[in-house]
Amino acid sequence: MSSPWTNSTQPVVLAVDDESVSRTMLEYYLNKAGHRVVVVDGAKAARLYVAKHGPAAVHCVVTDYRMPEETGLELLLWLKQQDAALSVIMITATTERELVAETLRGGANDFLDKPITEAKLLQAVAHGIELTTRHRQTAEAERAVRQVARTQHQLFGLGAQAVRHLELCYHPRHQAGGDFVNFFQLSPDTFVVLSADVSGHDLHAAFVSAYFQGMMRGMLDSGQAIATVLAKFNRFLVEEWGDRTVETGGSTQTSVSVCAALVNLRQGEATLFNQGFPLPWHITREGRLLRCEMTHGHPLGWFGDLDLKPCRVDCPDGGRLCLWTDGLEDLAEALNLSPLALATALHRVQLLGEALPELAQAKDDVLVVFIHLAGDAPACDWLPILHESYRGDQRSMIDVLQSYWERSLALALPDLPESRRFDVLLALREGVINAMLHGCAGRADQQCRMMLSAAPAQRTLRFIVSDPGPGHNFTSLARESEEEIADLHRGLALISRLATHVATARNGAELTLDFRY
Amino acid sequence: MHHAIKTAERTLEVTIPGDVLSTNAEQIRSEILALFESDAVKTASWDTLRLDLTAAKMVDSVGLNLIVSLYKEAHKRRAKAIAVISNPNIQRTFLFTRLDKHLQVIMK
Repeated sequence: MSSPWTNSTQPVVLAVDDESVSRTMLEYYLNKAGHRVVVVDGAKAARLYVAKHGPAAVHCVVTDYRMPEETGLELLLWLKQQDAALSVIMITATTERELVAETLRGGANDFLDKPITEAKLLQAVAHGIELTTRHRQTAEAERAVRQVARTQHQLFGLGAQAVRHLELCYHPRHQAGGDFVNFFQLSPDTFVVLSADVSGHDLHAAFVSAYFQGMMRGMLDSGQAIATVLAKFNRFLVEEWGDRTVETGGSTQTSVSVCAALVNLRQGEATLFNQGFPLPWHITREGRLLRCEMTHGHPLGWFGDLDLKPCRVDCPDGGRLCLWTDGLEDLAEALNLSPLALATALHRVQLLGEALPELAQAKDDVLVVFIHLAGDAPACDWLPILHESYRGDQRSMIDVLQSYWERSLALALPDLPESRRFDVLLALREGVINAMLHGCAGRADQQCRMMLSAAPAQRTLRFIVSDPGPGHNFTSLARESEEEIADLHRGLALISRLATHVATARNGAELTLDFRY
Repeated sequence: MHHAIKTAERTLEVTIPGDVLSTNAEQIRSEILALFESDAVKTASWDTLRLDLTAAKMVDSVGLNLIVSLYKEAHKRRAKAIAVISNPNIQRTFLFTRLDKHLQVIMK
């Protein structure tokens, strides 16, 4: 072993060959080109050197394939175990060409035919050093990202106060960046839940996310209103951040989609600020699903003006809010099922500590947040599965719609007995056809609405269908159909028998069916 | 859709290949009514219409209406109607709507 260069900053080339002539030649060529060279006479000596100085002390290995004690391939495999980023160049005889394929599969970066020429050797070594450097930098960056991700996940570890009011289902697609949620207790009865999606999935996004959360906490603690914080952060992104990232060669546009919910338990209301976030849902204590129809503004960071139009949700009896990032909507669309059902499926697997295989298809972070709106009242049990509106003239599509409901229901409630699933699907079909045909009179300009929610603790499903029609006497028509062998109203008779409990409102224009299972 | 006239049993057997739903009931109805008017069926001697629904996993209210109308058609021809099913969910829908009071339902 010669030339220990470990104290220098120049890259080190480890040359391994059992023939002294070859070693001399390698050392001569590499030294002449200005490389620092460590020359050893075999695999064993090479291992000793790497073990003593560490793999990071070597930047490229040039090794003969055929050596008496151990082949170059065996050495290569050992070296790759020590440091996968280290480049290894294999020297082979022409007759060993068939071994090259195997060698390359073993992870060699290059190979040289004997007799090697000075030019080819130096070219291969220069390339090998460059690759080692690049791969090590990448590995180092990945380590840093993992560290940031760990820190982010620690931030996600919400305190005891938050746990009383929040349920989170977070499935990051990337190590760091992307989506986050945070909880700020303002008083015993009021709190803010900040859910956001920062554009990008890198350290840059992670930094913006941390900055935003810190700003929100600081300003809320000093009594500022949410609207003020959002406006200030928007100005920061537009006026300061953009210029700085251009100067540093970063992204020219950073945006943050955000939904901030200010919940006042005493007054039984929530105020929502939505900038570029998918519309939240309010799930009432009766299992109704109400989309928080609100004018949502552009994501923070797009334009200087911020037209905040908060939406108030009255929730005197509690219930819960459900909101998610666009990653969930994209995944639901890819799976062709309801995002509400997907949110409920994520809630279920989160509680059970199980995995949802469908998440493997997610292209983005998936974050679902359930916010309980009750103070001392028992938590709302209802979870959403379906909420759809259909035109009166869409009856011909009923098979396609049923297939969509079936997939959604199967994902949200996989333990629903098969016979009950049949009953629910048939009732959905009959209820929606009835609403399209009679309530909407089959007209394209009339719409009916259906929703399906589940209370797993009560093992109950609730289906509500409503239409704009004048309604009808559900009970008498259903009975009439049962007693007569008439063609009319058989759907109503079916519905009334399939459900555990039937309730009507608006003279039968709204039907609520409960299914125990 | 497949049909067979079983002379010995004086039965016209009609096999429906799948679900009977609002989206295909009208087509099934017209095919069966055309079958009733065909020479082979008209000249055959049958007093039982046997509807084989064993391939069906769902029969909705429009499908049930079709079965009722076929029962009535059979009745007009002084024949009785039998529905053969294999799915317990469909059996329940027949019971719920009391169709079993009007035509014989055989669970296979």
